[in-house]
Amino acid sequence: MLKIECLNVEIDNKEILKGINLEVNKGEIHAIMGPNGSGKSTLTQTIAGREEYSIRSGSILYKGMDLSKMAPEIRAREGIFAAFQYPIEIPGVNNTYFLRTALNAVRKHKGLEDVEAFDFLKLVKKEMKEIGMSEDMLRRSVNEGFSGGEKKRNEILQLSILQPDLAILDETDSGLDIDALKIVSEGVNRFHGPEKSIILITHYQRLLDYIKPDFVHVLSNGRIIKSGGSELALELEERGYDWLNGLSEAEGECK
Amino acid sequence: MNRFVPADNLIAPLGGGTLRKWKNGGKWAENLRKNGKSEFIKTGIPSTRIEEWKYTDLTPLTKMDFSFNPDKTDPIDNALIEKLLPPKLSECSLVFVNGKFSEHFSFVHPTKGLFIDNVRNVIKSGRDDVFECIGKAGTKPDALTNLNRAYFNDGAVIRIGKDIDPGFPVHLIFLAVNAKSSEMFHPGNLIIAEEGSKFSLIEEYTGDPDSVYFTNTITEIHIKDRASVSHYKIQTENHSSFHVGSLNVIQGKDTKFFSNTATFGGALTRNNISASMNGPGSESNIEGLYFLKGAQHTDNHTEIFHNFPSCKSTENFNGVLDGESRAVFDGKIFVGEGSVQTDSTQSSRSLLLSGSASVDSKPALEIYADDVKCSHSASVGQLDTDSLYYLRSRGIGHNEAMKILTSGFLKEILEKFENKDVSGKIENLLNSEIKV
Ligand SMILES: Nc1ncnc2c1ncn2[C@@H]1O[C@H](COP(=O)(O)OP(=O)(O)O)[C@@H](O)[C@H]1O
Ligand SMILES: [Mg+2]
Repeated sequence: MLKIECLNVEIDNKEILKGINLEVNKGEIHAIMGPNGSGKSTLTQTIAGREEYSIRSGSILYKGMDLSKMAPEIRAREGIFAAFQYPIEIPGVNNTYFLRTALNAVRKHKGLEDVEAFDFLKLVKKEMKEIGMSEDMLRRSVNEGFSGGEKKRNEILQLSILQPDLAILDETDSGLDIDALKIVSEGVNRFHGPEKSIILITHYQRLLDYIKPDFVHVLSNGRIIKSGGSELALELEERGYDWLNGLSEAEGECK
Repeated sequence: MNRFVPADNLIAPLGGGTLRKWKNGGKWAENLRKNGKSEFIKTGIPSTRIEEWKYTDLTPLTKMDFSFNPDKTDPIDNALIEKLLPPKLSECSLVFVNGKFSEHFSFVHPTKGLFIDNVRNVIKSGRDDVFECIGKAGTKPDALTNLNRAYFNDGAVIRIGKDIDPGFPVHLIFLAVNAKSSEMFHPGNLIIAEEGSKFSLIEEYTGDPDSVYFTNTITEIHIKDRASVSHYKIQTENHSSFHVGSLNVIQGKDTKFFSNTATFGGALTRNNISASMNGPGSESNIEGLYFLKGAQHTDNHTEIFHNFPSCKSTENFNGVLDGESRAVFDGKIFVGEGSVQTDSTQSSRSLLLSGSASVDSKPALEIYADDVKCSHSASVGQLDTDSLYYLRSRGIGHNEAMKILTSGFLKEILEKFENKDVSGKIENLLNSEIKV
């Protein structure tokens, strides 16, 4: 599904990702953990196609396609979805209209007809109910005046409506209380399946109590310094990140 | 250049005299016209050396031969008017074709406590009392007001009785048709909302694409104690027309006023909005949006007077500019001596879609009282790149995303328009104007 090799990314001439290797196969769940500022959001946004992040070297292949030349909207239509750590507020743009326009853009790309307004509303209302969002949010502008938790739910709503193939959730768990965390996790688990891959970016083991990853990676200072199974997350929870400091050059096969 | 420029051409259609028609109603109308004319002749029109007109040049008006013939003998084909007339936004509507009331296209249904008529009819029927308060709202009349008064001949006259809420808005439509040889129109509307009443007025100005015309209109609204008035103005004049519109509002105590302006048309547009809160506990909410392209010029000129304590005002203008268009925002907030506990916010924001479009913004706060909360902000910029990226990251194409954000910028204002028929109409206008 996704194959990242020796990825170097910089912003404003500052190198932030320094040789990332990561392979995510169909149906897998990968967790990426790491201290603040290590480059987790940069990785997310580079995959999603944010233009400010420029790829200096290395490659990202998605379903065999070179992402570096693809506009963000094409990536999205091809099935990449990044839930933002800080979802953007867009005053004046109705949330329902936004969701429906996005869904229809994705459907059109797949050669499908536009979804009927009525069917769409039925679908959204069902999904909103599942993740405990008030229908009131359909009438509001995109994320405008939403609480932190509401914004995160709105991201998960988009995930369940758009049904991408690769979902990257950038700290979707932070700022959620335990009940909200459960509901959001259930939403992610409903989404997951043999054809759907997930990259979970998180600080906390607690999310991994609800969504069980196949692999855990530690990102530090722009590099993945350790990878392992789900037990690695528990170890991180116990010991923090400091014990890994010595490893910073461990997997430095990229020049 | 001098501070004023002679504009005898604008007064020439009156010949040596004044409009003497429909004078059964006594001398007051005649005096109003006479006074307007002589005052206008004294000054002419303001040049850009006058501070209030710094960014808006009216001198092209002095170079045109405008005619004024509200009683043209060649009647305009009803079928043509029918075709051009915008859809009615109320069960009660007054239509003015080339400045003149059209009985045929208007529909007024009798409602208890609601007086609705046209100026000529009111003058003819000798109801001078209705006009007693005319000219009392707004600041000192300027040259354009004087010009309007010199031609005072038609418009709507509406009085909403004490504690009356008609439950429907009144829609005034001003349509310019077949005005091929430069015509001018000077409507004067007078609205009196008596104590405790509630009223909603929609003014719509539009014209066929081939006409060349100058609309110089005044709407005066008296809002008595505890009354609430919502005003909407939809302006889609053709792109070779001039439009100067003044909205003069005077408010008593515990009143509410909502002004909602949408400007799409006009080669040159000037919207003057003046609200004086002359009683405590009142509020004025002034919302405006505009979409300009080509060489269009729009100047929103507002004055809000906090003359009494505990009044509140909000003002928000958002505009989108394409082509070489130009916008001016000049917003004055005045807080008089002793007007404590004033709460006032003002914001003016513009979105430039083209590098050749420009905006001049001139907010002015004049505060002579303590214990006052006033804030204002102004911005001119491009579309927000984070928002654009967010939409694209969900599969929405670049151009579509630009379009959504552009109309979203204006919908921020539109959302505040309470009348959904009006906002629906404006939303349609936006969707057809904002192309990618
Ligand atoms: N737009 C930006 N401009 C400059 N530096 C940035 C920008 N975005 C992120 N950075 C820097 O890149 C590094 C990684 O940030 P980020 O990817 O947000 O880390 P994380 O998500 O792991 O907390 C940080 O040092 C941050 O300051
Ligand atoms: Mg981050």
